[in-house]
Amino acid sequence: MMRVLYVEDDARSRDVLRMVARLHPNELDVTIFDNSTDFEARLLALPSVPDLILLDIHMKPHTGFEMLEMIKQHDDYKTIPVVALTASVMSKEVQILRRVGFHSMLSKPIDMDQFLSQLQRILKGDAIWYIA
Amino acid sequence: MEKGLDTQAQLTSAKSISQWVTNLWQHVTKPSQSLSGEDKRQANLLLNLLSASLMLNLIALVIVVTNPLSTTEGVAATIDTRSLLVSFTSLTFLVIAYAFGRSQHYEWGALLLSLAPVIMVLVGLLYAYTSENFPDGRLGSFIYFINLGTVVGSVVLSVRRSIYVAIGNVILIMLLVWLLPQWSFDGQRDEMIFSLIIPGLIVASVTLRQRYLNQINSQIRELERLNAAEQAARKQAEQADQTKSAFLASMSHELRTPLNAIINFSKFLGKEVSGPINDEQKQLVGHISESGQHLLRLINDVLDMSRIAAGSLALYVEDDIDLRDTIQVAVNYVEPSLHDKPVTLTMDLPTSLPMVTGDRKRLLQIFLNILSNAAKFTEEGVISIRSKITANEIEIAIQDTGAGIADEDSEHVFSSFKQTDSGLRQGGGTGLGMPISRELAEAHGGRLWFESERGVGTTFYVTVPLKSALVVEELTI
Repeated sequence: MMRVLYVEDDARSRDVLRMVARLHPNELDVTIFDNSTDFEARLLALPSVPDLILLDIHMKPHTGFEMLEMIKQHDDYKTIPVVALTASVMSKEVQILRRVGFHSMLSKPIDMDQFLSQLQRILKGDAIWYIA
Repeated sequence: MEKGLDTQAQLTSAKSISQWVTNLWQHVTKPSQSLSGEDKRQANLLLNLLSASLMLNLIALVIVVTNPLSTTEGVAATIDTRSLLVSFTSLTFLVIAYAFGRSQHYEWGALLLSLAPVIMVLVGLLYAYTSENFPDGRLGSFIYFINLGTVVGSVVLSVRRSIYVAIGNVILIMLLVWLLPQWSFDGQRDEMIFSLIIPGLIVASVTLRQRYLNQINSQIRELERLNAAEQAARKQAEQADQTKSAFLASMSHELRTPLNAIINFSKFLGKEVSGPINDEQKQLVGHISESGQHLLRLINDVLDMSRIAAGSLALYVEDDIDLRDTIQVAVNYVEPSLHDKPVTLTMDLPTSLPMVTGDRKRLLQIFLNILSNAAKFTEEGVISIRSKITANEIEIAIQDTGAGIADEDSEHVFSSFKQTDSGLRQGGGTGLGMPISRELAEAHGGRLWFESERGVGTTFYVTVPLKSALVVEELTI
């Protein structure tokens, strides 16, 4: 069972990921934060360390970049692959994601049929920069 | 070795001295900050002239005061009073003129400078008059000296003012001739007339020069104006470009977020995980999902086209790409659309195609575009994929037995947003697929073209270099 943490302020995007989880009930365990308030405290308060973290980028009060920085400050968490799940796909935006240290990027709209296998490949160590 | 070092040190010190002198000179001849353009150039010219004169005068003064010739036989050991007087007078004038030259009223400095020789002559004459030892017939030579003032005034001052100076100097000469008849021109009448003509000639030549300079200056100003206008236009275009990019980025973002829900919700409904739906409903949600995908492709095409237009299309280049695999993926995508038509798709590629270097996703995009066009426009017959390997490239030919492309349409195949008539009848597509594919092929160092005959079919050719000369880019897309 892959434990995934997803931080997303758009309700419809959260619904999409819940649907993906429903398609794979025995493989995917998704925890969702619907905002980034107190992100660091809530991350550390999770009952178990997630295997993979999906972050939306344009969020308040903390952006995806800030959350990435918070994650990297904790030894237990800094090796977790952090994946940007974003609708911003212009070259410049993607370049910045790579530079600041995101492990991979999956674009919105996600590919529901491929999503689990993409996450599995990321966990195996592949860096995926997928733009649908 | 030491000698070499010595020479080196001498060279360096000579260099630094000349550097120091250059700096000092630049500092000394720097015009007032409040001047600009032609005024600044004029003031700079004046300051150069004044600085040089000051320097020469200082040297002259030193010579007069130290009187190095005093040891020579026959030369008086006393300081030459008249020379000292002239030197001091001219120095005073030059310092005042220099002070004016550094200010924004530099023209006053020029006026003083042009008057300085006259004043010096007068001082000399006055001294000579009082000491009664002025040699006869020397006035003619002094008149030449006076004319020097006219020259300086003409060069530095504006044309109109230089004429005033010239007239003033001529009047002065005539006054001298009238007041001091006992010193004038023993048999030097010609010289006197000549002296009166010279200022006129100088003013005339300087006037012509000034007119020529004005012409050039106005041309320069015109060029500068055009240049500024062009720069403004370019800046505006850059701004417009930035606005466009920002618009495209936000449009893409804003459309993709709802598409995420549209495509995936409908897909999820179609999977019947949340409960069974009937066939019609299933078909409808399938259409919703497909339409969403289509809209996404449109957005991507528009973004690609704008990247190409901006020259910012970057390739994510990998080594060892098997084109056969890439084409197979494209075939798998397209094949389902041929199921309800009597069209067979054959792929006749050797199992061991040489590897190429390129952007996997972009190469797939090219073949997907060509194959889906072939599938769309072929009602019956065969779509075949063949390859030809030459010394430095692989050529892939995709031939169909469709309607063919009319001659009048063939020029539009690679133009943006232009669909052929038949393409429009068939519906779908942005009209951007082929132009983008050609750009992508060319970005890989390859080519894309077609041959077509009405009623027989069309063959699209793509070449990909075996070892791409492309430098590996850092980034995807």
